Amino acid sequence: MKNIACILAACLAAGCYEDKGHYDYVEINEVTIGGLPSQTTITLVDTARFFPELTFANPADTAGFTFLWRENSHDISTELNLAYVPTYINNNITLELYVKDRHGIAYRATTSVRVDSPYKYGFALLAEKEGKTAFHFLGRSNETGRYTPYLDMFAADPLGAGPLALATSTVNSLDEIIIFQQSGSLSLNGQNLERAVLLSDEFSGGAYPAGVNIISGYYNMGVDALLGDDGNLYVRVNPVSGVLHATYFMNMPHYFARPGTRVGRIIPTHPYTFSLWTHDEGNNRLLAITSETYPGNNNIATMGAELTINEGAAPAGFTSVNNMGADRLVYAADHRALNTQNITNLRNILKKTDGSYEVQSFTVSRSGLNLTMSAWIQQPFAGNGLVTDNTPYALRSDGKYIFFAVGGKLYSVEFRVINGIEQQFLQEVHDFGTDITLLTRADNSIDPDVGGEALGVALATGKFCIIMVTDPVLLDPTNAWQNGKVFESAANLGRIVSVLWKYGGSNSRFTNDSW
Amino acid sequence: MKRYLLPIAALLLAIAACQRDHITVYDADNYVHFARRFVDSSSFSFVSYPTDNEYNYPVVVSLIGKAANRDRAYNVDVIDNYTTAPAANYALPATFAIKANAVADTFYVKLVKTPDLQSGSIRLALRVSGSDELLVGETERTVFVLWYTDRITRPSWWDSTMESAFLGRYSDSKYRLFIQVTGVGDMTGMEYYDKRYYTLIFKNWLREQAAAGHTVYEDDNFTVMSVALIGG
Repeated sequence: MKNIACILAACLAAGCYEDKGHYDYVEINEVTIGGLPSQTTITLVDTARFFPELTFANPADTAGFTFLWRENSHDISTELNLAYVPTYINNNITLELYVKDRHGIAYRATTSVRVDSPYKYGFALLAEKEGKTAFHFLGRSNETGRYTPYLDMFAADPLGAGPLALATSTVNSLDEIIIFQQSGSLSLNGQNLERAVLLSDEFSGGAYPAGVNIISGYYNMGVDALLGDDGNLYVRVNPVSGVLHATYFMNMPHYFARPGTRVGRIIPTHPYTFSLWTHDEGNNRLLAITSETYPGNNNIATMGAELTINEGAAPAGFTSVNNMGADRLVYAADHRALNTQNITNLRNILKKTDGSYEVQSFTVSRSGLNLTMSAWIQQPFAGNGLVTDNTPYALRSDGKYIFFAVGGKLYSVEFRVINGIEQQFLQEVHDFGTDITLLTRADNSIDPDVGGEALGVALATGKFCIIMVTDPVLLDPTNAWQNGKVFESAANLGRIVSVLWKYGGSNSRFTNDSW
Repeated sequence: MKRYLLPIAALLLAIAACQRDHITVYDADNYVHFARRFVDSSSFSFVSYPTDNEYNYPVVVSLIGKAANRDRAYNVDVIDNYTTAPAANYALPATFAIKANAVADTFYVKLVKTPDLQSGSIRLALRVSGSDELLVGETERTVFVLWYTDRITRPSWWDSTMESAFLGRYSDSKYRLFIQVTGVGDMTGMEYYDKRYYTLIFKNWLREQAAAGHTVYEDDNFTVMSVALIGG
């Protein structure tokens, strides 16, 4: 009984304890961090800029907040807005933003930056300088759209001699540039533009076919074709996707049924045409083979097969592409509408026997091993009287403009359909004051909002210029150079032989970005 | 004294246990037998060697025992009542020996191709027997059986993909011609490039024959021989 009483007394005493703790309640001003993109893509020469937007639970009390940006556990800035300058190439750099209030409560948000090589996108220039092959690259900044020149990249370790042409091979986010030259062709790694593979090693046995020099080529992803100086194509069918150099080129000529076939040029067309086009100068005709992106089980036997061009009910006066007769093919290029497949649109410039020039346009759609032609148009070219046999041309990717050069003058011909009839409108774009030797488009799909792309212009003085040939620029020809000029090099690049737009990978080859 | 007796005895025993034990080496008889077991008969086809009328087929025998510093003879005989190959279709070496310092030997049986081999297989059975220096080894390795033929049959690598994408429908005539033209009889495990390469060689040869007025037909003398590969 005594014990129970003691216990009860102790419990009662405990209930009288005074709580002497200190509790200062404060209102938490919660912060929401917005305005950060999930990913930003820049090149190594760019700056990524971030402008976070903070939303406070109590907007009247925004004092006392501190900011901290971190990259890989390193503090990089204590400002809210960040100008991030990358120092390395990486597909996924995570940047963290911490917003901390005066009580020490921190709020966190992240954003990702992909840093591409400065060589990822841009113009590759092949030139001859002091008897040697020279290579220059104009890297395009994602941030500013400007070009950074990397000139004479192999001056200390020459590539070779006798430059001929450029090509590019693309697989997903990988690519290479192939340099064709008399002294032996090779490819450059697309990330760092270092030597990658000798073209001779791409043949079984490590050598070109006997007695043949490879002078150009086109890599169409499913089927790659090299052109020999013997007028033959040497083809490889890529058996798998996602891999460069997956297999060898055949060291035997690609067979074509018509006797006398001699390929004079390869006509680059977009991979989504699923066909690879050439001009057979032996028979003066267009010649195409299949080229799906990659073979599946149901087309492995037909990859590279010759396609039959069914010209259908072409109108009178339309030069047959299966037999061009006395007409001479001066220029051929493709254009495409967005998101089309198995469709090829070509614009050709033909020289007639009377010395005049005509422009021929048509569409072919592919089904199996057959190409069916439609939308035939052939008419005198608006550049008649100006163009010659040596005129350089370039077709804008949407086919709306064809550019050509006479001397130092750059002209455009706009194709515009009025009342169902395609008409041509000629205008002078700019006088560069010195002979233009090459024109090259930044070959890509057209963004309908921008309507146009960059045009590369090579001059006889060894200078290279880039002008945006967008609709707004071309509609104001008087000020086209002023409004459209993007880049102008010094006149020391050598004799420019070939210019190529570098996609940076097949992913961007199929996007709608305009250059 | 009694209390020291046990430790002393233990010490003596321990001393006695610490003797050097010489490692013995094999010191028994030496045996010879075929490296391959009897149940695993071997096979050979002249189809893959269309231009050869003879072939030296290797047979390996193994030594069970110690290598010696001299050649040691053994014997190999044909088992007549288990051999269907006529004497004209084979020839054995005159002598057999495990060479000095060797633990195996390879001898070669010369196989001879005759026309009758195109219609079937023949069997050669060999038995190894010992000598004064070498005894016969494991029972299941004392006999070697070799089947050989010149009859062509569809190889396992000529599968549905080969049929649909490369060489097309199989026929004995096509296979024999393919081997003659390309020199390749086995495309097992070949990479895509090689399959395409050899198919194109054969395809080009067929084209050349047709262009020269010697169109090649299948055995029905009506169907033009062709391949499935179209591109190239």
